[in-house]
Amino acid sequence: MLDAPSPSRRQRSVVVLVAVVLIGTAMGAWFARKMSHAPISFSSDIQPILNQNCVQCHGGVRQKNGVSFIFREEALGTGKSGRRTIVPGHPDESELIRRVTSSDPDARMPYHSPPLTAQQIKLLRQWIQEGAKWEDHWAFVAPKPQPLPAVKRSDWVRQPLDRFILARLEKERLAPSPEADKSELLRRASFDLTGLPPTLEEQASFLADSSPNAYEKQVDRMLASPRYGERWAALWLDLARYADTKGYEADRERPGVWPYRDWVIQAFNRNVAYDKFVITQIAGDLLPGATFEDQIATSFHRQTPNNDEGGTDDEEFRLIAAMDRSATTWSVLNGLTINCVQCHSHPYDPIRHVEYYKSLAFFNTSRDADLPEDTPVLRVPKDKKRYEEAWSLQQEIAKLSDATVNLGRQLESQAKWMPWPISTASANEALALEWEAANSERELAVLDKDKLSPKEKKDQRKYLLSTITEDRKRSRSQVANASIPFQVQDGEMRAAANTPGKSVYELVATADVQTITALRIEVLPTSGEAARHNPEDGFIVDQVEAWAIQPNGHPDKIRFRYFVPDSEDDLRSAIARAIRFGSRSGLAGGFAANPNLFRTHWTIGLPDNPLKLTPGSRIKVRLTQTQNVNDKPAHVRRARLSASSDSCWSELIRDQEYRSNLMRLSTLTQQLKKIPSVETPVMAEQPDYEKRETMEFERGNFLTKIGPALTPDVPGLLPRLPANAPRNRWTLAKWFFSPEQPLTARTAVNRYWEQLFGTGIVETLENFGSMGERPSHPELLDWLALHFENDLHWDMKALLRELVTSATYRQSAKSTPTLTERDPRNRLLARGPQQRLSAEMVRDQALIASGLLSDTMGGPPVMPPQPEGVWNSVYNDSKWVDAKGPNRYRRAIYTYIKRTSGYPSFLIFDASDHDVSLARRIPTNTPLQALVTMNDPVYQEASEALADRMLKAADKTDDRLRYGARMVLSRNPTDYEQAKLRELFEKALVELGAGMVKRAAYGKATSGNQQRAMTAVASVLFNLDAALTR
Amino acid sequence: MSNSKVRPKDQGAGEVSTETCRELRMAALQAQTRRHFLRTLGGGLGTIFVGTSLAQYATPGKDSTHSESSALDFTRDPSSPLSELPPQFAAKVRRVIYLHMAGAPSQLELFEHKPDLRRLDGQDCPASFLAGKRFAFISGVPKLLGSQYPFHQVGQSGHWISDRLPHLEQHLDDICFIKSMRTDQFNHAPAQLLVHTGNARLGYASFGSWVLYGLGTENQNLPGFIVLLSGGKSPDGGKQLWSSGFLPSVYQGVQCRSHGEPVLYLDNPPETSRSLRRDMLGAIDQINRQTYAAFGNPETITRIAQYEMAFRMQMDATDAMDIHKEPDSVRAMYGSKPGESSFANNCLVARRLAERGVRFIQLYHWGWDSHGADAKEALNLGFADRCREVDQPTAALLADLKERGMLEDTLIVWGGEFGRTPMRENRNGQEMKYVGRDHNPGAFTIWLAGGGVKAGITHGQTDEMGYEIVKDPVEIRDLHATMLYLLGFDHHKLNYSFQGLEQKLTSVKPARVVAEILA
Repeated sequence: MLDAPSPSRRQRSVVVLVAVVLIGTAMGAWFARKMSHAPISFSSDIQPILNQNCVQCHGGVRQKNGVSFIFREEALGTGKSGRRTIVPGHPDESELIRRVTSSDPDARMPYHSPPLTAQQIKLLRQWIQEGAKWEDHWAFVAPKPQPLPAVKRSDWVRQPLDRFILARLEKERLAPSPEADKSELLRRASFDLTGLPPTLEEQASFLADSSPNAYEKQVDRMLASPRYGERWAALWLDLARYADTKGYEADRERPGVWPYRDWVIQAFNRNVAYDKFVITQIAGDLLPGATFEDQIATSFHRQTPNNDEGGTDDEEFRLIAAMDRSATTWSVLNGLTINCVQCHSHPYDPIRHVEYYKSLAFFNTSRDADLPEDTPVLRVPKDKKRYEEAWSLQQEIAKLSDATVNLGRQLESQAKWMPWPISTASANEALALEWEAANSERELAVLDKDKLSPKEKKDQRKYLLSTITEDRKRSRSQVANASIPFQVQDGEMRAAANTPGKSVYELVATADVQTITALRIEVLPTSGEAARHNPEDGFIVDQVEAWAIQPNGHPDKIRFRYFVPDSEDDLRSAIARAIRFGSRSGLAGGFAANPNLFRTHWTIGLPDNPLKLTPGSRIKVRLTQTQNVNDKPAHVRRARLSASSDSCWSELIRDQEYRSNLMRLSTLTQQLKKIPSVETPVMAEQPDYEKRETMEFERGNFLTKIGPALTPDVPGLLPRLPANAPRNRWTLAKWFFSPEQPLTARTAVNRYWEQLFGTGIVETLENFGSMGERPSHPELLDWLALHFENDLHWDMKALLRELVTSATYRQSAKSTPTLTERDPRNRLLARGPQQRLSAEMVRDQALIASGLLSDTMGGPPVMPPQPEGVWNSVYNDSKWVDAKGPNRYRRAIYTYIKRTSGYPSFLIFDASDHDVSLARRIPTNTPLQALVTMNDPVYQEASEALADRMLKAADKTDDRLRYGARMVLSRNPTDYEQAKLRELFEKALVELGAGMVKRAAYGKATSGNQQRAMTAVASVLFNLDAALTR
Repeated sequence: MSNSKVRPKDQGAGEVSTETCRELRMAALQAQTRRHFLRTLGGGLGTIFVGTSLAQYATPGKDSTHSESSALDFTRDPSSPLSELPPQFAAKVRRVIYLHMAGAPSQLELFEHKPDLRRLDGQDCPASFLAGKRFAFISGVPKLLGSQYPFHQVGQSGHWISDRLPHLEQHLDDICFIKSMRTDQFNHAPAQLLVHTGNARLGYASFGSWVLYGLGTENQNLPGFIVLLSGGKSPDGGKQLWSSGFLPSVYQGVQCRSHGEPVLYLDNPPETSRSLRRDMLGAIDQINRQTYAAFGNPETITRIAQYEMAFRMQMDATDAMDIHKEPDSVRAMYGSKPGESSFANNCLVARRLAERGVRFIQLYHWGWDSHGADAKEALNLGFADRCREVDQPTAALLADLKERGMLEDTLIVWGGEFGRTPMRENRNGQEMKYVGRDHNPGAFTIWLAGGGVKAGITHGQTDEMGYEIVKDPVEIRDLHATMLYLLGFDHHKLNYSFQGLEQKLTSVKPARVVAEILA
């Protein structure tokens, strides 16, 4: 057996055991040790026994009777029985040995399962005798430099990596296969590097080139082709769970994601080094001097689904996205599976529960919050030439916003505040409805400003008009006019349970201060500090108004010059409102916590002039609230008032710079809006004043958090983070590429290996942990990892070049019965790889062979033909409209990806549905695939177009058939193939002579039965095994 | 398990003969000696194909010690990844028809008779109902809402039922209610994902995929896991509900349609006649064999077999979906009208598929989300239409299967993704235009019928308001464990290595088989 039996494989039958032939690495090593009485290795001898037999009950999830075998100190501890599980050096004193050898069925372990074999028990005893040494799992130990193995047939070697493969083959007494013929090799490399078959010209030029480096020249050409980026991006977009929609029920469109897809393609084509490629995507926003494109790259982690379903808790799905980011980072970069640690310690690997949350903490301070608008977003111009302009505008806006908000916050914290205890409070629905009706009228007046389609405009108008009618009708009713009294507690307002969905809150306080320069309104979480970790539903105040009520009862409306915002969100809303309705409206004083409230929010009203109050006056504040958050009324549930007489506020009013900053923000925002753009969701950190803390979730439940706030950190089994670096995503991203990191380079080289050879050196690309597969060539994996890191400096094209120019890769894929028997899965690589084309390649081959393929790169996604009625999602009007013209024939990578309804023919060929990060596609082979390539109109069109080309290419049928085969199979047909195709063509002519069919999809000019018969031949070509493989 | 239900195959339809292909495969196998190593479709573990000797593991009545200790192997000959495997122990049923009412039908208007709630109709909901609860839409203080329809008792079992399901009520003695279903999701998409995949997040394998992975399917000419939609929309959870998740895509559900081709890409292009197609397949077959002879890649043999199967599927799937072939009387019994995407048609198709050996048949009917925001879904309006749409066909399916002796080895499950509140929804704190209820994850009703399930009983109980469970709560994972048990599996044993875990449908929290409902 060439694969090391995995510890996870539960052998269920004698047949299996009998059949095991132990030539796999781990078991081979085991045999060697057994023969020589070498010391036991924990990783290869003991851990598999524990993982297979013990850990299910005594591991990270369950620690029955206080016994666990994940960490050494636990295993050396004392179980419930009162006896020590393992006593190093003393097997007979170890409860483990007593239990596995017991004859009492209720005491014997594994409990009520077949006993361990005598051999296994012997190993355990010997291991304990030798001190029960614990060893780190191989993958958690940094790769070691490996000498290049000596080989007999050193003339075969073309690249250093070949020595590792050949040494193993020689050990197994197998000879490598001869080099593949030129056509086979060119097809394989062309698909592997560019995702497309070689064109006729490329085939001809290679066949005609007899120079010794003819193949290398082809490889260099392919690596330099823009097609290279399109092919390798497909792999990365699987990992990035890239999609054009948000997922879940509504699954609405995310129209601005494609700039990220184009960034990935370009990054591959520009050959950005792997470390930079990754660091930019994880932390591009935090890089010093980050560029516009660095920001776009961070969309990698904004590809997480968003749940727009009505009535969902945005905090829940924000956390799910944050957890996805953390899990995806570990799985993509290190092949570590940490999702299971959300609820409990890792069942098999030494990762503790709390370490999951420390690692989550890196991703828990981003600003996104499952909002339908997907904020934060970057406005990315549709025209690349305007990137610079858009970027400088956005940078300046960010700078000015920061300065404005920070100044306000600073003054707020320095100023002296006098509480104004609220004496009475109430809510009134009618006033809120009146405000909403008036606001809808304002909206109607500016409706023409919006860029909407006539239909959208009509719908919006209808909606506004009906809102106005409904609101006015209800506001006149008795129910709406009755004010609901609120409780007042310690001078604070507390909302009543029956607060109307839309309310104007009226807060009245006695004003015993004589002169005030500022009025502060605070909205607080009802649960106080607890909300920091379990946020409450947010609130939205549309407008703030205030009156000074004279002792005689006369109300004087207070005119405010500014409302000082406490966050960028509030500032942005105020600016947007000012732009929309004129500058005064921007000063309506709205403020909000959307979608969640986890800290005290405030707004500060600055009267035009210091307000002089007669003793005995009162202050009345009205907060208007008409909106929803989380599909529930955006209620203010707790509020208080205070006043300041500080002169700093009067100074702020006179501050020309503050004023001009606000004006400038408005101008810049309008300029930015004028650049035709899409909005790309990107990563951005919360400002310090909003920063979330992360705690452990009890059993993974986000509603019950326990323990102290955690410092972001990496799991303890891995090297430490640099001591003085800030604990943020940038530090984390760089840490993955630190020299002592054991897994990043291994995971990366393994992925390229798998793409080219069909199976990774570690087959489980997604899992390098102790339950993953062991490497087939451990020394090669380490050598390649260190080579990629230290010699090639993470240069992806250089690595690929070495792989595809190796003698190993260049072998013919032809197998012999002996070889198939010895190594059916080709893990030893005594022959060249042969793989099925990926979903993308199947499509792209048909398009390029038929001459239909458009070579346009990038831009918004396209919709090639798909059967009708495949999309019928709920609460979503988006439609699949078959593209006309060149967009019908773009490369597969540009096809629109809808999460809840993927492009059917791709899914049938094992493409990802892009819901979660996918490390490895598992190729299947099913009748549904045959139906796609035979019947899907896309392939029918391609067959017709190819038939046209074949007919035009030559006059003789045989030449035409040869031409078609070269197009699709990248080689001349064999005589047998030629004969069979010819036979089919003639049969088809006879059949068609009966005149029973009509020609449909593609092609305007029908050239009769010849063409139709040739279409059948072309279709057969696309369906051949040789066409579906590379 | 009897094999009698497999329809005889249409022999000799193509030049590509099953026989020669099998010979070819055998030759390849022999060339590789008796041991034959294959790629597992799964976690990438090289393992062994033991041919047909798997039958020995179908060990009815094996003691539990044995079943606990023996881990199962789901490896198959890759040329037939859906080939039948025996269950772990004697199965009570061989197929499942799952009728999912997407949107969550109100148990209080159908099966949950709560006279006290009706008495308190219109009163303010007590504060204790609201404290610490998370709702999708309810805010402020909602009013209690009694059932909108009268209830009565029927049959030997004395089950209570409202007047909305006059056909189904004639079969209540065949039905087992679980009135104490519970979930932890109160939004449609996550709750439907939980019901169908055992996990509320994306990326997991659906129930049907698990069953197909574990048992394969009898009839290789039809997909083994078929999905049919009605109600005009896909369920809220989308195609993820029949996704194979981390299982190989060969186990994903195949959505069949009543308009156009029953299976995507099933029909030949209009310009390709069936005889031309046969010629084309002949050429593909011959050339692929030569390729195999030259390269010796076992995947080539697999591909040869798949093309042959695709050809047969074209006929068999078209035939299976064609309800014109049913007598008028049967169509009338279901209330089916050919050509519509109706639940009635889908029920009839479900029976035809069941007869043909399809393992898992999943029907979705959409439109049960009765918030009262819209006439189309309101309890007093659209809800009654939904009841009419499903009542007669569901009853007909039960009766039809029973008459054909198939109910005894079929499991039928009917239900939504959560329950509805005894409070009237008051979105934005206001009384709604129409009558509706919000989502209640705390209690809902599903029913089962068929093999291995006690007929005519009720399991579990809710309080007088139908709000919370007071007796025998059943989690989604318990339902899954129970369904797997009926199909012949200990739910711990039906697993698949992925991301370092032995993944299973019931996930990590403890799940139990609801023994109380087993016959």
